[in-house]
Amino acid sequence: MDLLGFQEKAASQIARRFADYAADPLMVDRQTTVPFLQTLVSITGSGKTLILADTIAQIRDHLPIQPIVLWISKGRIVVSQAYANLSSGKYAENLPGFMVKPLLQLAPSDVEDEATPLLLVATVGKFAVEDEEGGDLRVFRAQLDLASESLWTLLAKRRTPTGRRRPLIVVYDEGHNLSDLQTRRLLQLAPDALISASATMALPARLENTITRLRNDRGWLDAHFTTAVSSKEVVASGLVKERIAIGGYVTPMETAIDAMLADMGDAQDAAGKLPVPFRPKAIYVCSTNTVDGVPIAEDIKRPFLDRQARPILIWRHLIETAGVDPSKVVVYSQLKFAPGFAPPPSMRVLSGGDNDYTTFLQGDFEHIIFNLGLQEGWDDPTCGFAYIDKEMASSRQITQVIGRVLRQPGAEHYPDSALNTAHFYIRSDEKGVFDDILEDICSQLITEHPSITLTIKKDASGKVLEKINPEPPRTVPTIGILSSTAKDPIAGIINGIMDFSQGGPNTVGQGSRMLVLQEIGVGAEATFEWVEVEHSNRVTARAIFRRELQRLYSGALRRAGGPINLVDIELPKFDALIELTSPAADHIRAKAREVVEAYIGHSRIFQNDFDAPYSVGPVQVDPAEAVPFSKALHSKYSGLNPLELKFARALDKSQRVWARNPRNSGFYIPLLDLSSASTYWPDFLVWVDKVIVAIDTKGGHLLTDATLGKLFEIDTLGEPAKVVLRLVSEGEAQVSAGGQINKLSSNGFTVWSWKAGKLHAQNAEDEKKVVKLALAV
Amino acid sequence: MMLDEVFGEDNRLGIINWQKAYSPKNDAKTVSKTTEYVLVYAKDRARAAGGRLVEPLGGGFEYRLLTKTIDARTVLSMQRSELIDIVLTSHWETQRRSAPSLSFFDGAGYQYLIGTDDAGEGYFLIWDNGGPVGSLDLETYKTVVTEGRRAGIKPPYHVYARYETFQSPNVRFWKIPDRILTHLGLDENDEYNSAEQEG
Repeated sequence: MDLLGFQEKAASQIARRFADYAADPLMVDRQTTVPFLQTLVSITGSGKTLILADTIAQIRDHLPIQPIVLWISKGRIVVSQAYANLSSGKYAENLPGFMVKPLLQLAPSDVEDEATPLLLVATVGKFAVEDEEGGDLRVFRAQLDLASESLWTLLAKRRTPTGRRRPLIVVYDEGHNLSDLQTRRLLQLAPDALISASATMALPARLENTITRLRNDRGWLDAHFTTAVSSKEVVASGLVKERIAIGGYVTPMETAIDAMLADMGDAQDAAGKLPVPFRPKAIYVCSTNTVDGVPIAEDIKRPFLDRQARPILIWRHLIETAGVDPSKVVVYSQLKFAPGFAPPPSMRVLSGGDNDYTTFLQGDFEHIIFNLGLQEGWDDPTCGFAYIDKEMASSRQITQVIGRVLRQPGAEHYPDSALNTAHFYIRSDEKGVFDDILEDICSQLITEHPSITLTIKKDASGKVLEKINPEPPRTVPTIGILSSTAKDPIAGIINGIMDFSQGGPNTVGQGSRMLVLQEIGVGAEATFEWVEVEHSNRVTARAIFRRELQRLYSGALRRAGGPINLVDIELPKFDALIELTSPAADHIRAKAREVVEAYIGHSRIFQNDFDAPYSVGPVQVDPAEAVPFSKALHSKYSGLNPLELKFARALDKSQRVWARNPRNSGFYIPLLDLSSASTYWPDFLVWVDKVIVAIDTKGGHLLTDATLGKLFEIDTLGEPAKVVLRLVSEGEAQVSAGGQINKLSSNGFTVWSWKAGKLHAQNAEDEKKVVKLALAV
Repeated sequence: MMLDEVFGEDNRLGIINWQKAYSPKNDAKTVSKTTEYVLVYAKDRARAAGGRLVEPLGGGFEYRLLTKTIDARTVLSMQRSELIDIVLTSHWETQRRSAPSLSFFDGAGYQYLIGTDDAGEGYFLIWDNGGPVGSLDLETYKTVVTEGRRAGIKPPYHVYARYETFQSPNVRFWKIPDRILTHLGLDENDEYNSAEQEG
């Protein structure tokens, strides 16, 4: 699976930090190194597993011998999913050459096979036991016939037939679950690296010693311990939803659920009209066998219609009142029924926990009633709605549930923003208690998901967000990339790449000696010494080239691609096996940069009149803060910052039809630019006769860029030009004849346009003048 | 295993590729690797695809065991009908939870459209007239859009081609031969060109 730019950057940073450290590690004693520590801080849905898999592949490339990786997670389902994805599923291609096995199936021959990198998958339950000697019997029993030594000792020694110790990398997905006990067990293995991933930075106290060593003896600062992925980039990539809307309902359950079903119906209509349609799903979080307001178990020896358990009441409301098809509803919790008091046959109850997980997935249910037992592994992106019953409404539990509904279906934001929103309907009895909970959630979300818009309505009755349809409907041609003239220059650069398939000194790493623990002598005489190994594992020139392209320019138009699709990457010279730190690898990387530069230099953006145009979609506004406009396509907008609001008001007075363009889901222009994100979202669209003016009020930072012309010059394929871009920056500025930008004052504004192949600046004292200048086309 | 699936679906073509040995040794200069694959043809499909004469076995299937090293050159020298077979059977999209099962697009007169998947998305193979695999450029894209409309297929369009010089947000691009080699099980550190065929 191709990595997005931010994913590739995070993986490369961890691998490079590891390589630097491993070349000269701190020691605990003569044989044990202080492990390299790193936490990948990255929000739910950002592709943590993919980043970790790629990190491991890159670490392997740096190492002198093939590593052993221990990949652990907390829950059984999370682990089995990780195993499926890493061994043969979507991430298998990101671990080239790795043998992937469950830890329990580890055989001594796997450890001895020094030619194959090994990845072992396990849950913490497999090793986190207090008593090391008595230990986790299941592990040892399972291996008695295979292993002469216990699995644990085998991993701790990890010796090859030539007496070398293989590097051990421990990866902990969802690392906030790491306990002191588990950490202690892991440290007994003398790992070379401990890499954990989590939405928040959290390390167990047991690692204090390791952290102190790295701080004191290596001068590590806080930033050295973590690799953080920017939430903003995750949201912009479309992997997660862009908004969380929370409604607090001090009403009966039925009212809150009806509000949700109404919103869900709208979302289902919108999702059904997409080119790739899907059915949004909802979850209902409630207690299982208790009665509303009473913490004692319900008497289950009662006819179904007399039962008061929350799942039953919710189910009955869905089926009997709301008319939901019972085959779409499941109760996934240990709801009890006494013999002789069975539920109606149409009611699906899955009470087997993990064992029912497969049945649960196959059912493809749209309404899922559960308590918080639903596994962390369940992350269906089509689930965008959550009803939370009052006993379950604590801030900790709600933030957990938020993780379940944050992923974005299709990893793409849609014109109808209801599909880009995680909707919450939280029911309570007491308003005071409730306000506190909501404040807690709010502050937690702002810390963890700073880039996701949060809308909270404390005393909701109906909808939390109001949907406003564009009136009248309007379209804008999409903008594509033409790069036919880049093909020949790129072929020329590829032609100039040297062939290293005969090996030779240039394919050997320089200055990258790594230490390997080597057994010297035999039997009782044997001692261990660290020996320097000059060579690292070899990689194809192809892998190095592809990774460098990906790192430099991961593709515009919101997907991977671009320069790589013009390169004859299949040529035999890309088969050459070379070391990462070799002059050959430097040569390959330099050529990759040339290819990206040639691609950017020769490609053009153009107005695509072939494809269906972008049509302005509905917006969701927060009624509490919405501002009405008379000339806008949508009757009101919310979420404008003060500067945007000023412009919006000025635009409205210009008597032109205009719209606010939503970031991440609206109209966009691909950026042919090495230094910034590859997609550009202007703030406003204004229809001026037959032309659409795209105006951006935050474009100042782009002006320093050498490739600015690539943004302004939109080619056409014979049709008249319809899209014109104007940037606006605060303060008055001028462009000199040589193209230098000089700031004149911090008052007023500057409107930037493109004239005769050059940047053109016009100053304006206020927003009214800005609008006038910007719309003069 | 996979044969069950293949036999279970009428007129569907399947490919089985053997797990190849993987051993990127530090000392070895090259690693000899073979990938074997079996193509299972349905009678009608093969006819429609390439106009080749295929002897039907009982049940309308013909089995051919091809034992050769699949490499970049093999893919690039394939006939259009062979390439169609291999695209339709090996297509694997990592973003999805399961492999979409592609079926041959039943309809004559399409230059590039070759198949659709479960979700009704269209798959196109760009092929120069009589010549080798072509590029997705402005001209060929026009044809893709026209054929898509004619066949009632909505974007995104999946396009298999050698190069992509025209980028539309409506296209999911699959490069030949690299993507095909990846779908057949080669990874980044495998050789795309077998030593035997180099001359």
